[in-house]
Amino acid sequence: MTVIRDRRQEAPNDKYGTDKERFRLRYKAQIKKAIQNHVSESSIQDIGTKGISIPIPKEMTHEPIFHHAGAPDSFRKVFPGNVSFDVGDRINKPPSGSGKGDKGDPSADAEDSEDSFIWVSEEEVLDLLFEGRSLPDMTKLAADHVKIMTSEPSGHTNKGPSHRMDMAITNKKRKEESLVLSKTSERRILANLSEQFNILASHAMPDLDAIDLDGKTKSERFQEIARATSFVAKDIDAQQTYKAQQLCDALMQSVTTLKTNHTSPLPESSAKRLQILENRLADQFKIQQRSNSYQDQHLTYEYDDDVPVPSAKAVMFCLMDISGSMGQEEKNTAKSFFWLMNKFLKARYDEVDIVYISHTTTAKEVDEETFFHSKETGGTIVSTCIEETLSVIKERYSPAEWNIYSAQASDGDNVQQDNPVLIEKLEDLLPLVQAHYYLEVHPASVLTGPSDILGLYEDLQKKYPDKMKVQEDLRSPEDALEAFKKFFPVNGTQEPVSALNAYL
Amino acid sequence: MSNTYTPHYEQPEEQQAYYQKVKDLLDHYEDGWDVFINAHRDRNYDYVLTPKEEHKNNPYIPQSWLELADSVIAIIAKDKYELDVYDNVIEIIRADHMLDAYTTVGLPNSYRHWSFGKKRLSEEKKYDATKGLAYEIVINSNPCISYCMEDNSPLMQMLVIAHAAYGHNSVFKNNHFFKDTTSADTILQENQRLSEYVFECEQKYGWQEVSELLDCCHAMRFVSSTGSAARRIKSQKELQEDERQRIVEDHLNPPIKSVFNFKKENIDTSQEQAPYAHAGEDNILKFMADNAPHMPEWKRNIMRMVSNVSQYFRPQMQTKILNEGMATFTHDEIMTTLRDIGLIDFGMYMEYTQINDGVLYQPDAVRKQQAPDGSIQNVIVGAEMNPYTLGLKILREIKRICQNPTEEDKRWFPQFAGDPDWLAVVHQAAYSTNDETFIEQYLSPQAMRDLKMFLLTTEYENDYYEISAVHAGDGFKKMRSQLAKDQRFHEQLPQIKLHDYQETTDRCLVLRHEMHNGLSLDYQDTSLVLEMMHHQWGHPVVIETVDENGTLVDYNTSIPDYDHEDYKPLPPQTLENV
Repeated sequence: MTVIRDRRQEAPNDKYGTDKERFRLRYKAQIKKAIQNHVSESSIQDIGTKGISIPIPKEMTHEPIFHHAGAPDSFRKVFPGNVSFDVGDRINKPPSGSGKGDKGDPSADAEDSEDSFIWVSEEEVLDLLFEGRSLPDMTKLAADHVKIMTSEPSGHTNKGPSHRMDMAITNKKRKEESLVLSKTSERRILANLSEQFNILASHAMPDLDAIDLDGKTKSERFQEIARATSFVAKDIDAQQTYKAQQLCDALMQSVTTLKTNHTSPLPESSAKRLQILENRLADQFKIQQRSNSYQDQHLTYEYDDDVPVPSAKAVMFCLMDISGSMGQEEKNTAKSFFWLMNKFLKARYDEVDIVYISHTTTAKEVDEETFFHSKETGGTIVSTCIEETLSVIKERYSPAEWNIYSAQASDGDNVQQDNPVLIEKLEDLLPLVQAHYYLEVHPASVLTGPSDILGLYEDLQKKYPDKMKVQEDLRSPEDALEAFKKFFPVNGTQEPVSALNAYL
Repeated sequence: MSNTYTPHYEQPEEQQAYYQKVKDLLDHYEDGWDVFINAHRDRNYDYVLTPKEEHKNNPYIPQSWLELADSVIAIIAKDKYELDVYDNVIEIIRADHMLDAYTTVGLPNSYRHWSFGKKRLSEEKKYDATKGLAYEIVINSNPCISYCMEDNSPLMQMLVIAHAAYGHNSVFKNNHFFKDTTSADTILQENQRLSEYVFECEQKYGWQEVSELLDCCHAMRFVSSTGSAARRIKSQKELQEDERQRIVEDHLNPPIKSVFNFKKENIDTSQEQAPYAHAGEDNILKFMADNAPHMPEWKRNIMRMVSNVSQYFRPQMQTKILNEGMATFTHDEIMTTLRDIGLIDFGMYMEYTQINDGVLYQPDAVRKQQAPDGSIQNVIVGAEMNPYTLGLKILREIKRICQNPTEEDKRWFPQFAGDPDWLAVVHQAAYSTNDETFIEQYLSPQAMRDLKMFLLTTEYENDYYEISAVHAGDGFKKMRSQLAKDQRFHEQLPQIKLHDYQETTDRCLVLRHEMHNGLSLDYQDTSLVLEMMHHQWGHPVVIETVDENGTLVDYNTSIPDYDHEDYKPLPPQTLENV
């Protein structure tokens, strides 16, 4: 006998999802490393945007077994498709070095020869990158006028969409009710029927002997029913349900037979009682039928309430020197840092605004596109960008409401006369912001010493160790990643390295 | 057997019993004899069957097209081709289900392990690149489960049912290799129990630790080379009983070397040479589970279960050619019968042959290539033998030799050349052999000629391949025995057996690899496996490689610079020592 199962509509079980997750967990260290390489190698706008595919070298995922070493020195093997060879013919081996597979056994199997790839989505890339890092001074929460609502489970209701039904509770309610109702109703039905039976039997006519009840003689039948009714008096709960049902059926049949064959009139009181019992019986049956099915009042749904959560808002100021002295290389390094920090803030805050300010001798607020792509020439006055920042803060971002971060990238060039102004402006700025990050970028190939303003910033760092962070001498996007790691150290507990890595 | 005897399946189709049965069945429907042709024209195997008015409410006739196709094929397979099969379960699945099935080689509900994740990822990648998947996968269980792809056409679906649900299935049920080594009745439940147990252990001990154990099990599961699941390891109690018996016998009937005629040289040599009681045991996984000195019970259980479930794969590895050959032969015969009795038309048959030829494509191992100097040269590209082609060729040859034997055939196969009952010979071949014996006993010279086989040999120091046999003269026997030898299990996997267990000293486990054809073990992988074993066993594990003469040629250990000989147990104390 053949069974045909149509599984087209069936979702495959998530088992392989779990297996893939295991695989990923096993190579977490590799994935992390690959992501960091990727971040420092790829151009800023591309980092992880579409997710990245991370190769895991096959040596790492190799599952060793006992097997013979490589291609044997000599082999004998049968092949199909002879052309015109005869015994003793010789064919030259392909010259060595033309390919690994050509040497030795030409049939060396190609299984396991490919690297595995793990695909990691953008979110996961960032999660792994930012894992365990936290922002300093994430204090200003719960701005009053912005409320973000979140759903939290809060109890149960009687109404709801079917997918939210809590089967455990619903079932429990039905079971409880059916336990009580069905037993009670059974007991009542049996009591009702036996009373009817007794009334009818007590006024039994002599012609009752003629009645043939279900192929049994009258006396046999009565004995049976008498036994049955005696059970009703006892505890019905001790009886199995199906037995109660049988009793009920037997009584019902007897009562019906007695009624139809009853010719003589009953005394008035008995007839009245019988009528009441009959009316009651119909209701009792209804209750019994209901007792096993799901009723509206059983259905229980999970209920989620919308709860306002305090939200944290942050604004990030990206300040960059785009004057002629900043080459494309330096800009790239700076952009890598801005990108990372931007993503990091977005991961940590509910709401993040970014303000891009570029400056030469003057500073202006620009959009993202212009900030990352525009080229300008000219001299440099660093204090202008701090001034612009201050004015934007004053205009739009009240420090009472916003967590403010500013990051500044520069090659350290500044007009000598501007330095005192710069310090003054920074002293104004620092109390307003959570932190100010200063990066000094240089081209990778040119050896340059620390600039003048680096000294100024370092003095300020000593003065405000919490607020001012300085990283000197960034020469490549990798350095930007290092700077990022230094600014935001891992202060959570790191996951213990899996024991599995012992094999690797 | 007289020449006038004609087996029932050679008689005209209309006179055979199955024909009437098929006719009776199809008479229930409006479409009647054309039902398969109409469904194919619709390109829909969900084709709606319309039973005749009088059979509208008959629940005993097939209700869907697929059921009907299966019933018709079942009648032909069982009545005409006398196939004895397990009950079938046919599942129509999607591509992602198929990828699931690939990952665990068909066994549903396997436990969780990272290696499945790895395999799944690579299968997905392959699928994304090629969009090509198998038409079916069949599981050796009772009932026999066949997975059929949803995008198969109605004709494909019929082909797949004939191939998997009747061809493979009959081999599973009747081939003695399957019967001996696997228990089709319980394999699914066993696997289910294993995965549930693994899940339970993961909850208790963490998945990393369980995964580590499974790594070791996976490395070891195919080591047992004889493949006899039935071979039981004696328990410690039984061993003690044996020992007791020996002592009693020695006491009643004392051997020469008793205390009375004790000589030193006698004792020393004989004690050292006495092999370990379990020496020669090849199911090392099971041995470890039973004898590991300090392994928790759950690990032992998992190891035993994995060892059992792994037996499922063994006969499949050993009967690839035979299995595919028989399945292809079956579907070919059934499809031809369907054409002969007009259930499928010639257009459908053409489509079938096209698909079939795709499956049977056999690339040549030699390709002409232009050398840098411009001359045309023959280059060995090393195409393997297609198991479908080879298996089908051999079975078709058996049929031909029975029907139209040549003088050569009579010389090579006197036992069945000209036998009118060719079906019985085919069944005999398919049910009593594995790949090695199948080729050794039934590969005919004509088949070798048709496939243009040749035998290629080479030595490492030579810079050429030499043709040492072609399909002529004495080449047939040479090639046949070589091809058969290639299928042998220990030609593919090394033979490793237990040699010693130094229970009384450092509890080192000594394995022994018996070398064949000068093939040594891969050093790196062996070290890794030994390390894993050491981790589970808790004490050093070593492997000795010995050649055919028993001389030690290679030695590998789980910890560097270790020599188990240093810890060899001392001979038991004797009178002399005291």
